[in-house]
Amino acid sequence: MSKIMKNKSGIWSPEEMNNQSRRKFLAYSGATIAISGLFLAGCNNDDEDNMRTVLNVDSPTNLSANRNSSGGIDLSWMDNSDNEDGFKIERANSLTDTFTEIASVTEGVTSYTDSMDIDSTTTYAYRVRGFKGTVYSAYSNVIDVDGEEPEIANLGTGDIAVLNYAYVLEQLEADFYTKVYAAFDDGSLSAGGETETILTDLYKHEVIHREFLRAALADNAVPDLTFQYTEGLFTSLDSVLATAMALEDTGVRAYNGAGQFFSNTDAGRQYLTLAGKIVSVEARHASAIRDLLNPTSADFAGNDIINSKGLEVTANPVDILPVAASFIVNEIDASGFPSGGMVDTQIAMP
Amino acid sequence: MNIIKFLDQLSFEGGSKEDLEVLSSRREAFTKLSGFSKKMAISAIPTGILASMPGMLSAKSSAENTMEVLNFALTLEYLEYEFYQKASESGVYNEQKVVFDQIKDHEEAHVAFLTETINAMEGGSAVAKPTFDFTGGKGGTGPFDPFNDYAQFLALSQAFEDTGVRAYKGQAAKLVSDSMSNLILTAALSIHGVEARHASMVRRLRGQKGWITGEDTSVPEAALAVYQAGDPADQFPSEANVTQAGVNLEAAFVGNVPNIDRDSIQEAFDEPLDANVVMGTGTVYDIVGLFIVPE
Repeated sequence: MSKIMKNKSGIWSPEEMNNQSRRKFLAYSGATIAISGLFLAGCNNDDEDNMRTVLNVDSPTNLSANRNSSGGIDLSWMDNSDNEDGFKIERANSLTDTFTEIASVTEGVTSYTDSMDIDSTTTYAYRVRGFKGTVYSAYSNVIDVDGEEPEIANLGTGDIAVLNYAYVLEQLEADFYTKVYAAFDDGSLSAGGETETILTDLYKHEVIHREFLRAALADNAVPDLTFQYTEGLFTSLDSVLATAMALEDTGVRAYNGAGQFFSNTDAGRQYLTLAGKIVSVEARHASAIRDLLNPTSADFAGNDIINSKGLEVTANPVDILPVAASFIVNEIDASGFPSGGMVDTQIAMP
Repeated sequence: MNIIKFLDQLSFEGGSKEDLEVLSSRREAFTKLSGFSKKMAISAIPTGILASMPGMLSAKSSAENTMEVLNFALTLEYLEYEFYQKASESGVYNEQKVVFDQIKDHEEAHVAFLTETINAMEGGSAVAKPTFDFTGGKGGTGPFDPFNDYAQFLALSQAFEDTGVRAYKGQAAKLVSDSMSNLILTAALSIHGVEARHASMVRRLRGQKGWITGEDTSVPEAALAVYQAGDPADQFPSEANVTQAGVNLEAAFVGNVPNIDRDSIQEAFDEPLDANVVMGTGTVYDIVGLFIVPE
């Protein structure tokens, strides 16, 4: 039997095998597939189709984990295989603990709730792999989750609610660009040139916006939010730019839509001017990111977001918060927002 | 024409009179700056964050006031649209035709939108377009030649767009109202953002950052006021301002928040610019006035 190489990450890699043994991995179809165990012995070399089904269990991806409000941890992942018997879920009870299998689910199931007695001071780690009989796929990504229950972010009422709404969006933007900046820093993402300069500037601006609003809201500020992102987002420049565009465009339409909900008081008018100082910078960001994606086209102020009156579309919290929620682990309570914010009364296309 | 009926016909969603009445009654009196005098999350920020906010804007939000603001905006849009229209005819921006045609189309739409909106208001009357002279000579021989010189065209384009951003921002608070002008405020904010998108693009075409770092001196000397303080300076600070809501963010953040420097604080906030819309005076009029031929 030919020798199977083990690469530096400890994964059996058919790519590193010689041609003869590669032929035995007839169904190998991608570098991400890893095979565990020496299961070749019982295979019939002539039955290629059967080999294919036995040898490949594509690994699950995009594992996410969130502390739910009823005391458990919700896991979900993407099923990339069409032949698994099921998935096995493993947990480590601290960042330094070893993983232990805690559960198994049947084929096609892509979620699991771990209802153990959660310690609010512990950070848990999870990973998942598919199996068929005694054949296992590679592991999914490892995901960490704090045992602490996420606080509900209550926006408050009146002008405070409008400012907290802005603060939620600025927290999201700042967190996103901080991770982009960290990815530049550790080399897992590279852009160079104006793209890297712009994304670095945006990181600074959004952190400033967040810290300013945090300080301004003081005791009325919603808590520090926890965010979740698609696995692999921060290693793909295309994904980073697409997400940046969505966040900046959303920020602009949210600020523009929220202006009318400030109170007709001296304070309300001052808040409006403050918000105006920020929103035009967000619009400058959106313009630059769109131009990076499609240089010197009309996209910087494109007809997809600006209607025939030359007005950019705006949106109310009722539309914005569900979109933001896909990034935010915490529940947002906007019940105190000025009432018009929960109906659609905004500028739309065309 | 009734302004609400008019706005209904525009592309607002749900802008029925009933909806607007609901909106107009929703406001909550917020008489105190509750919370803003409590302790700060960042120790370097002094207490009473908004107590030192500069002068209050007029609480008057009558239709008359709204119309004055919109006519002021219309004057700016007249200037911008004619500038790009003449530039288009001259071919000076053919190098970036797609970009500037898009900007031109927006300014044209803004002129039409504001004219229609003003004329739809009770007693509303849109101001006439002034006679512009983009050489800056007020009908005589001026220092500029933007329709033959692409670099000058770009510099003036940047100055006009950044002025637009500051000017709309300076007026927005006057459109806050208990009554029916909420959608007008939203429209004004929307245009303000579109101008900022333009400004960012034009600045980057000139090799500048899309955002403003301090008092930008890349425009012609006569237009330096675009980035300088207005009047009063505490209410309309220059683009070099680092104090927001009475808090010096440079003192609070630099050294305390990683990677934050003075430049990025200046860039992170655009500043409003003054115009006395009743008298047709103020810093914005000083800038626009360079290109208006006196009657």
